[in-house]
Formats: sequence, structure tokens, C-alpha cells
Amino acid sequence: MFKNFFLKSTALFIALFLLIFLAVPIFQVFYVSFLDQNGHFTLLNFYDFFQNALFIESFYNSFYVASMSVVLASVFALPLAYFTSRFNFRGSVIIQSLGFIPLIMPPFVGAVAMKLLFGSNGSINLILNDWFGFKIPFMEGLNGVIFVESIHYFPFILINLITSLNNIDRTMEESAQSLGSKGFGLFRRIVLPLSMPGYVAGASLVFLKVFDDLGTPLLLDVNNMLAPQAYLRISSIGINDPMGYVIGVILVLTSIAAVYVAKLALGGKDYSMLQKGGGGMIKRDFLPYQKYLAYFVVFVILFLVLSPHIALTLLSFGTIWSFSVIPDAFTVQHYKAVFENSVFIKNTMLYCSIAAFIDVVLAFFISYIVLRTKIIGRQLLDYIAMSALAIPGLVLGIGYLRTFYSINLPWDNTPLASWWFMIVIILAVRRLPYALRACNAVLMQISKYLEESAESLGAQKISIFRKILIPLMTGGLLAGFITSFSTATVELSATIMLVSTESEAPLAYAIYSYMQTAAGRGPGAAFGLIGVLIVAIGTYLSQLIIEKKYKQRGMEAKV
Amino acid sequence: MIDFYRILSQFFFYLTKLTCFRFDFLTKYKLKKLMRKKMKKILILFISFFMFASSAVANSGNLVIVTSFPKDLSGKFKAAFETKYPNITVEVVGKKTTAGIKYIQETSSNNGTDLFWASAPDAFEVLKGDNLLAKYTSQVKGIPKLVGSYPINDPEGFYTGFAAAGYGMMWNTRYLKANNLPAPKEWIDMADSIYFGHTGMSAPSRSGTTHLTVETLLQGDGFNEGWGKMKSIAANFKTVTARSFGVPDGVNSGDFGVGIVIDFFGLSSIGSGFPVGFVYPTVTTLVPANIGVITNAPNEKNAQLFIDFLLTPEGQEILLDPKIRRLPVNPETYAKAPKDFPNPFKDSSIGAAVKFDVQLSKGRYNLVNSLFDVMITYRLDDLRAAMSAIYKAEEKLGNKNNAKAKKLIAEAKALVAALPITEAKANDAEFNKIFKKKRKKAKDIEKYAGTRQAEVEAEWDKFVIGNYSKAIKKAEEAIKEL
Amino acid sequence: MSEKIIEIKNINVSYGSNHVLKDVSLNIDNKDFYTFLGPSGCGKTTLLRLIAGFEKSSSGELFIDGKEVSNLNPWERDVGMVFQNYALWPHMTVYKNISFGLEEKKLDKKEIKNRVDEVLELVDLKDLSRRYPFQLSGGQQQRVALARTLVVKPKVLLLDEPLSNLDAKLRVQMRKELQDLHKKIEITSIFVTHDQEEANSMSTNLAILNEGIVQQVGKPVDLYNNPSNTFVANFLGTTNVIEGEIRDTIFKSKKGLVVKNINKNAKGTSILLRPQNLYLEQRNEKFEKFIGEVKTQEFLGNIVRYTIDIKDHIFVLDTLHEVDKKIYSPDEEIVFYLDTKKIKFL
Repeated sequence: MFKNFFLKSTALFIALFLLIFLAVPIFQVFYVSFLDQNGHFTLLNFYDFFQNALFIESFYNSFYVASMSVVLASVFALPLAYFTSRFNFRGSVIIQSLGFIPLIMPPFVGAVAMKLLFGSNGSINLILNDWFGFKIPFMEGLNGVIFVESIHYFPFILINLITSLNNIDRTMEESAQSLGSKGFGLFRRIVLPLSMPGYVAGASLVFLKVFDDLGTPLLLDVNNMLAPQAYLRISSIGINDPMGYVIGVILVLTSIAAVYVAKLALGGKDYSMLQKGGGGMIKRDFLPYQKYLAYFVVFVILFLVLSPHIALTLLSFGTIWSFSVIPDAFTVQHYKAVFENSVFIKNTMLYCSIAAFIDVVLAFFISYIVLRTKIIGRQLLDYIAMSALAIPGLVLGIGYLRTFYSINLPWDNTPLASWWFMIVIILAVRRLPYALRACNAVLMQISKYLEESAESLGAQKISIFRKILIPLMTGGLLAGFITSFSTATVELSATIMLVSTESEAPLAYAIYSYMQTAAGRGPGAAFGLIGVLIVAIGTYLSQLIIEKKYKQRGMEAKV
Repeated sequence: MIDFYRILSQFFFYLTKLTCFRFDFLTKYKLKKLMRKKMKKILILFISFFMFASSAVANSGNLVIVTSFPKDLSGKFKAAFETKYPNITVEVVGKKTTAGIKYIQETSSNNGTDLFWASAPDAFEVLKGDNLLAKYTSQVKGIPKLVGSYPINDPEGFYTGFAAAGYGMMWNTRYLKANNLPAPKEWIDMADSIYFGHTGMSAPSRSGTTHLTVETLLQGDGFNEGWGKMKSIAANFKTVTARSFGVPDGVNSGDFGVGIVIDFFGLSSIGSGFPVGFVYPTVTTLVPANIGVITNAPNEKNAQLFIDFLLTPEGQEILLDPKIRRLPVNPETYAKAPKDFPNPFKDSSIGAAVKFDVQLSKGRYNLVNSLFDVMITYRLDDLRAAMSAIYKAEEKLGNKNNAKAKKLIAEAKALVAALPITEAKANDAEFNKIFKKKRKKAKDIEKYAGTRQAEVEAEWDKFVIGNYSKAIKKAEEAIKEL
Repeated sequence: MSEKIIEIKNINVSYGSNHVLKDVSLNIDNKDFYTFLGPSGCGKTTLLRLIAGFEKSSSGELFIDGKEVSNLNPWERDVGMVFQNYALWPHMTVYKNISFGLEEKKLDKKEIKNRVDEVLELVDLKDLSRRYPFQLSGGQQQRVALARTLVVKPKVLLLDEPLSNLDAKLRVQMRKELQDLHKKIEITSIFVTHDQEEANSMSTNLAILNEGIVQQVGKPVDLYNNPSNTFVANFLGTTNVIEGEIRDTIFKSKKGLVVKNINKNAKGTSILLRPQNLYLEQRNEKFEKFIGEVKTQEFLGNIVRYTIDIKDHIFVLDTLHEVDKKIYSPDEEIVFYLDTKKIKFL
């Protein structure tokens, strides 16, 4: 503890890593927004931002879409979480597992699939029009963005709510019951407030992700939002207007403000740590008619949130799907393209697993340093790592090119930025927040006495990590690995800037390039589906491990 | 902040725990054994997978091409070229045109790219302007100077045309049938109110070829007339896509009925079996798709070989592939083309109507894009509202002879068509510098020093929005008159 | 006098403005069973963790076996700590938990096995060596924690409220076992507790802490008999404390209660009276007689505890219960006597 040279140098190393691979590239991009035409410092660009009606409207739209997505995502998440964790509900585990899937939506194909299903001439509307003579504009304008975003990100709220609900000690409810509270009153006065902190955390994450998301509005051709405005301005031919970068800065600032507001809203109301022991929620039985109603609601929601993947499957097996309810015919031809180009899958597996591994290692040390040491500036490390959540991938990609292209690799004189490992690094940086939160969570649940007792028995830090912490944290580390890995497989915005040769390109890039041709839809969808399957299988396997780990320990509890 | 993080943390922690399937029927002891076995297996799986995967990466080619072309096109050429030159490995890097330019610009200090291969000549102009292209003139014989009215190669020799493409209209036959719409033939058909909400196009700032279509319209009909026509076409748009492929994608899906697309998108969609059709309007420009050697190319010789290969008969024939369908620049190749394949060297009606002024186009490139975005892309809803009010008024007018209403409608139309900038100013080289990249010195923009693009755009935006809402009022007044 | 194994000199610990330990100095003899006793938040655990090396002092010196260790890491100090919640590693078997420290010392396998077996024998857990912690009862976990620490033969054994997680009966039993163990292996032990009964029954020496200050040090009986301040007096058993003035042989409280016939040389501002030194029967003529009113009555089985009000002073009186003895009810008048010889002065 006193001579923590090892930890201090690790902290320094991580700080350097974040500086070089996160702070410097971002700065490289963003400093433009503070320059005038002559290259002098100015804040005039920000003045311009607030003078421009279009930007103000975009800001408002982004805010509106993010807020409404939170609302709609809550509508999806609430019944699922409530029914599966508070009632004896058959299949609740499967339902909760399926709830994870929407997070893995491959780029481009996801939106195309959604349009084929929900678009103004998609399957649903064609049927509605045929039978009832009207259409529902699911996918038009801002509503479309809200619809797709809330399907995509609602798992954040779902999982959070379930966690909160399960965390509520049954004695909390029992004591309320013994004081005469019951039914909805019990839910409203005890259960709901206690699960609020978890909900707010999930909701703010949804807000953050939607606010910064570029892909969905772009693919739905909604331009009047901040992220697409930034992107369109940054990536236009030959234009070097600073406004794109100004918007980028505004995006980041708003994200930070959103996190801060969420923090204020919670007001330190984290009850979960206070209520250890006891057991989970009391599960009730449905009344018969309630049961059917609940199943109906759950199935409707599941259909909605899994519809992109249903459409994706259809698309990957369909021949031509145009202005019709389902594809004209079915084929397995598209999968041939997948197996002929399996290099993309291999690359993705390689990149994402190394990146996720780096994430887990960094996250482990960062959370250890933050929670267990008193090194000065340790919180800063956490905040910087988390800030990657709010940086648009494209900005980071351009920053990498600016920062690392002029540096050559020592062994073959090719630029550092075009080395495949830089794709790994950028993926790692982008997904570090996920792994970090997972590691933080487990480490917080491990009593520090377990380490201290080893120390007093003569064990040094490294062997404590190896023999005590890592085995105990396997669950959390794997959770972090899987979350980082699975979300990295569908990452495109940052990597597309760095891909320098096709043989080193990841899966998401392959999907992108297939989706640029008329004939490429099927193979693109097939690639997307394979990606989703890889992630699903990986998640399932790791859960087997975690589950057994917990069983073996008997209880996560008394550590 | 910490509380917030703590809750987030818990969430991630439970993320996986929650989705677990449970195995209560196994005893803890059994589990332990099973676990050990599984762990080992998974570890081995992982390691072997790593080995397997890492062997896949390595060996970068000795000809690196950055291209905006889809795999269907680039892959065919790559394969053919590699068959012909077995000791050259071609590395194809697909990027959107805009991203490709950005990439080459950002990486120029340490260039690793040999060739830039894309459609829009203006993209090459940008690179040329940055001194990022090297001169090369191919010695392959039999390529004419012009296609339509457009020179095939860069007159200064920095890039070479290898295929021609022109803009046209693509439609989904099922969609048109369901909505009882005829297929359009000319640009002006697209402005007909029957297509309201049924068409689509991509923004010129997003796609170089779209830019050329807009520019062609402006040069063909004149700056003011051209914009007027453009806006009345745009008023029918269901969407302005951010990607140029978004248009054929939308038509193929049946998301909208008619799209303004470059020919090969239409032709290859037909080739892929989609129920779509394609036609060239009279006013179109045939534009060459190009390829150019990058300055300081690491494999310059191979790069030149590749350009030559594109122009040889065997290279040109690849363009006829049903999934590619681009117009070869070698007239003899058309002998092997399918029956209905358009031949610009024989059919003089394609692409000859406009004499395209490359210099004019180049000079106001960014300004036109920005103007389009401000008036159409970002204000599509307002434009559509204005136009639909006018349509309503016109419908009500019918064959009635109400002078006042007619006048009001005409005024409304004029308001919609009005431009926030005069042609002279739009063509003013000094003013255009505001929209240029790389203004390191203040004297670069003497005349308009201190004026910022964002400022100009905000002004335009105000003008446009004002006009659109005034137009709606006029149209409503007209309706009242009737 | 035996050799000092731990010397604590003028140790201060503070967290920000919170001064946790104030100028603490203590000496602990070899083979002693030493207890830090005090209410929660008094700094006793901090002091223990400081010795173990988990806390850092802001000033002062700490010697273990003659060596200044303030700047040594926990693993370099040769002290063993048993934690309140045992801190058994849930992913290791009992055997693995115990062998951990030896493996860290890189002993060869055979020796590890011998020593683990030996210590398992010592704590009577031989049959359970393959179990995981969650499969053990509280008492068994406690013994594993102890064995895990003892096996590395530390110079000092630190015990942080090790009995607090056990039920009452088991606690008494473990108390005995701990004492036996201490006799058997004669290891210097430092025991932290807030339970005075535990402290009194087990320790050879006690240090009583309050608010970061050592109040008194000594053998349990001495402290009970001669508390150096009211805190110690109150903490070690119940005491009636009355403030007032002493003049010659007469004590007079501010509220006007008078106690005559006290020791001539007595000095101080308050008198201390243990509840068992107040009697309902006059055993001796010299006892002083008081009449008061019963406030509460508590029947504790072998004794009855009364609180009695005299002139707004509340006295606690314990009397042995016998079958025929009268039990007073609240508001009843009561007569009691006190032996002025047993009064302590502060």
C-alpha cells in the first residue's frame, strides 16, 4: 500500500494510453472549432452556432428525439421488467435473454431491414393498407428515429430495471406489507422509488447514446439533428468549415451535462448497497385473465424489438424483396458469399477479442486504482475513460488519422495509422466504458478484507491479483469482455476511417461495402446475421461460465 | 458522479448475470468438475481461434487502390488483373468518395495509396487542387476524346476516364403500379404534382455525381431557371438521402417510387433482378468515371499497369457485367453488349444536349452544394409544405379563370423559386473562397474578409424559410379567392 | 518483565479533518493477550489495521520486534490478521485458503502439507479441508480464518472482533477455544472488541480507547477496580456517578444529596458507586442509609436491578434474588444502604 510503485506506474501507463489514444486525437480534431479564418483563437464559431436557426432546430430535434426515445424505450422495458421479475412468469429467463439482442444491430442492414418491415411501403403498412386502407408512419422523420433508437437501446433500461427490482430486499416489501400496504400502493410507494436509481442510470445512458448517435438518423435521411449535421459538415468534399467540429464540441458538452443532470436527479440515492442480505423480490402469481394479457403484451413488445432481426433473417435468405410483404423467394446463395469471404469474420473475431481483452485489462486496473488506492487524480482516470462514451466515432477516427498517420512503423515503414492494430486500439478505446463499469461493479462487491487478509499473509499485489481478485472477478470481467466484444463487432463509424486494406477489414465494414450495391443486400444481411449469431453464442457461453462460477461460490453474497 | 457510476456499474455487472440460463438440477460438486473441463475447452478454443485468425491477417498487396466502387465492380477487376499479372497482389480499399478524399488528404504526409478510383470527376479535381495526383497518360489506343459533350480524360493528364455514366431516373414498377403512376421520361416530369411524396434523390454535397446532375441542370436551364426547376422537382421528394446509394436502395425496397440516380445504379439493380426500370432524360451529362495515380505512390509502375488494363478491351468488357453495367469508353466494346444497352457513341441523344462547362462547375462547387443543402436538404419539410399549398391552390383553380388567384399562385411559385444569391455573386471567385478549404492567409479572401460560411448560410436560411412561409400564405389567399 | 514486541509511540492518524487516533502510545509484551476495548468509532480497529499495515499514520513510530515498520507493506510485517467477517476466499477450499500464505513464502509442497495438516489438527478441522467456505458454519469459518493466519507463524496475531458474527452460545465457546489456543501456542495476540465481558474474560492486558485517545491501560481487574475516569468506569460495567464536592468526610452533590462518613483522604469532584455495592439490607452499622423511590424494576434472574430516584439522582442498584425476597414495584418507597468504604473518587 505504501510502496505501490507498481500501481503508480500502471496508473501512469493507463493515463498515457488514454492521453495518446483518446485525448490527443480528439484535441487534434476539435481545436479547429476554436480557430478563426486566420488560425487565431476565437469563440466566434460558437456564436455562429447559436445564431443559426438550423443548428438551433437541430439541437432541439436531437434533444427531443433523445428524450422521446427514453420514453418509448421505457414503455418497452417497463412491462418486460415488471412481469418477468415480479411475477411467476414462465419463460422469463428467455425473455430477459432476448432483451439483450437488440443492442447488437449491424450497421446499414439494420435500418434497411427496419424499412422493409415498417417503412411506408414495408410489410406491415402494405398489409394494413390492403386490409384496412390506412398506413402508420412508423419510420417517417423524427418519429422514425425515435422508433428505431428506442428499439435499439431499450435493453439498457430493461436490464437496469430488472437489476434494480431484483436488488430490492424482500424485507423492504414485507415490512411495508406488515404496515398495511398492498397492491399498487405497495408498488408505487416502495418498489418504484427503490428501483428509481437504476432506472435513471439506464435512462440517462439511453439519452446519451441516442443524442450522440449518427447512424440511425443518417440512414433514415433525417438531417436536422446535431450528430448528422456534424457528420455532413465534417465529411463533405473539400469543405473545411469549422461548424462540423463546433457541433462536435457541443455534442460532447451536452452529453457531459446529461450525465451531470442524471447525477443530480439521483442525488446520491443509491439504496442498493444498504439493503444486503434477505432475498430478491417476492414473486406473485397472475390471475388467469391477467396472465393472458401479460403474455400478449410481452409478445407484442418482443415482436417489436426483435423485428429488425426478424427482417434481417428474411433479408439474408430472400432473393428479391421489393414492395412486398415478404421476399419473392428464398435462397441460401447469400451465405455462400459469407463463407467465401470469411476473412472478414476472422478479422472481426480477432480485432474485437483483442480489443475487449485490452478493455478488460485496462478496466481492471482502472477500477482497482480508483476503488482501492489513493493515487492522486485516480478519479480523473475514470472520467477520461468514460468520456469515450460521448465522442462520436467518426471524430475519433479522423483524429487517429491526423495523429498517427505521419508516424511510421519501425519494421516496414508503413504508417502507424494503417496498421491493423490501430483498429484494435480504436475499438478498445471506444468500448472501454462498458468494460470499466462492469469491472467497477464487481470490484465494489468484493470486500477489501479478502485482499488485506492475503496481504497480511505475505502476498504481494501481483499474486493477490492473480490468486484472489481475478478468480473472484471472473464474472464481471467476462461481462465486461462480452459487452465490449459484442458492441465492437458492429462498430463502423470509427473503423471505417482506419481501414486501409480490405484484407484487414472487419465484418461491419464488409456489411457496409456490400450494402452499397444492389446485389449486395442479401450477402450484407447474411454477414449481419452471422455477426449477431457469433455475439449471441459468445454471450451464452460466457454466461454458462459465470453462472457456474456463482454456483461454485455458493453465493456472491458474503464476500 | 460516483453514485451514478456505481449504479451504471451494477447494471453492466448484471447484464450478463441476468440473461443466464439456470442449471439447478446439477449439484454444486458436479458443476465444479464440469466447469473445470469447460474452462479448459473454451481456453483451447480461444487460443486456436486466435492462431487461426492471426494467420489470416498479413501480406498487404503491392498495389493499393482506394475506391468508392462497390465490391461487385472492384472485385471483378481485381480478379481479372491478378490473373493477368499473377505476381501483383491488389489491395482494394472501399471508402465512400468523400471519406476516400479525406483519407488521402489526411494520409498524404506518409502516403501508402497508389490509385484513387471513383466516379465523380470533381473528386479528382479536389485531389488535383491539393497536388495529390500524379500525371499519367495511358498509351492504350482506341479511346475517343469525348463522351457526350464531356472530355473523357483530364485535359492536364492527372486522371483518366475508363467508363461513362449519366444521370437518369429509376423507378420501382410494383410501386408505380400500386400507386397508378406513369414512369417519368424527362426531368420536368419529376416536377409534376402527381409524384408528390413519391420521389427521392441524394444531396449533391454527399455525392459527387449528384452534384454533376444539379450542375448540369443549372447549366442547361440557366442558374435561376435551373434552381427553380430543381426546387419544383425537390418539392416532390419523399427524402433527400445522405448516401448516393440510398436512392437506389429506397427504390429497390419500394420505399419510394422514383429516384434520380446514376445509370449504373439503375442498370445494376435491373441486373440483380429488382422490379425496377431506368431511363436517361434528354438533359443529362455523360460523365466519365475516373482513376488517377496518387502523388508519391509506393507502387507507381503497377498503378500505371492497372490503368492500362482498365482501358484494354478485356478490361472494358468487364463493365458489361450485369451487376456492374457501366458504359465503356472504348466504342468497340459495345459490339458485345446486350441488346438494350445504351451506346452514347451511336445514340447522340444521350448526354449531348448540354455543353458542360467544367471550369464553371469547379469554381462554384462548394457554393452550389451549400445552397442546395440550405434550400432543399435541410428545409425539405418547409419546401414540401409550400409546394403542397400551391398544388392545392392550383387544383382548386383548375380551369377557372380567376386572374387574382392566378397571380397569387404565380407569386407563391416565384417566392419558392427565389434565390438568396444572384448568379453573378455565386460565380464570383472571391465570394467562393469563403466556401473553400485551406485558407491559411487572410489575404486569400480580401473582398469578403471576416465573412464566415456559417454566417452566410444562416442568412440564406432565414431568407429561404421566410419565402417558403410567405408562399404558403399566398397560396392560401389564392384558395380563399376561389 | 518480558520483552516488548510492539511499541507504539505517539501515533496520530487523521483522515482530512477527522482525527481518528490522537497521540497514541502503547507497549505490548511478548506472548501477551492484549485487548483494545472501546465503543464503535473509538479508533480501536484503526489502531489494529495500523499495526497490520493497512492504515498509514500521519505521525509517530511503530516498532514490531524492535524494528520500525511504519513504511513497510503489510506483507513485509510478519503479522497475521483475522478479520471480523473472516474474509475467507470463497473460490478456494479450506485447504487452499490455509496453504495460501505458505505458498506465498514459496515453501515446498511437502512442508506446506505438513504445516497445514498440523494447523488443521490444532483447530480441529481435519475432515473439512476439501470444503468451500460457504459449506461451513460460522464457527468453522472462524476457525479456518484463524488457522489460515496461524499457519504462517506470524510474530503477532491480530484479531478484529472475530467473535461478533457468532451467536451468543458459540461466542462463549469460541472465547474459551481462543484462550486455550493462546495458551498452547503462546503467540502474542491483539484482540479488538467492544464487548467488555469478552475483553475482561480473555485478555491479560487491556487498553481502553475512546475518541482516539487511550483512556487507561492495565489488567482487567485493576481497571474495573480503579478506573481512571468516568468513561472507563462506565464502560467497564454499570456505575453510578454523582458529581459534587468533598469536604472533609462529607460529600455533597449539587442537587443536595449528602453522603457522610467517606474516606478522610478522599479527593475529587465525583463519586463512583457500583450497583452491587448498594444493599437493601443493612449488613453493617456503618453503612449509610438512604430512602428513595423506585423508578423501574428489571428482573434479570439471579439479580434484580432497580433504578431509584433520590433528590433527582438516579441510582442503579443490583440485588441478588432469592425466592422469598420482596420485589419492589415502581413508585414504591425503598430503603437502601451503601458501604462508603467502597466508594471511588475521581
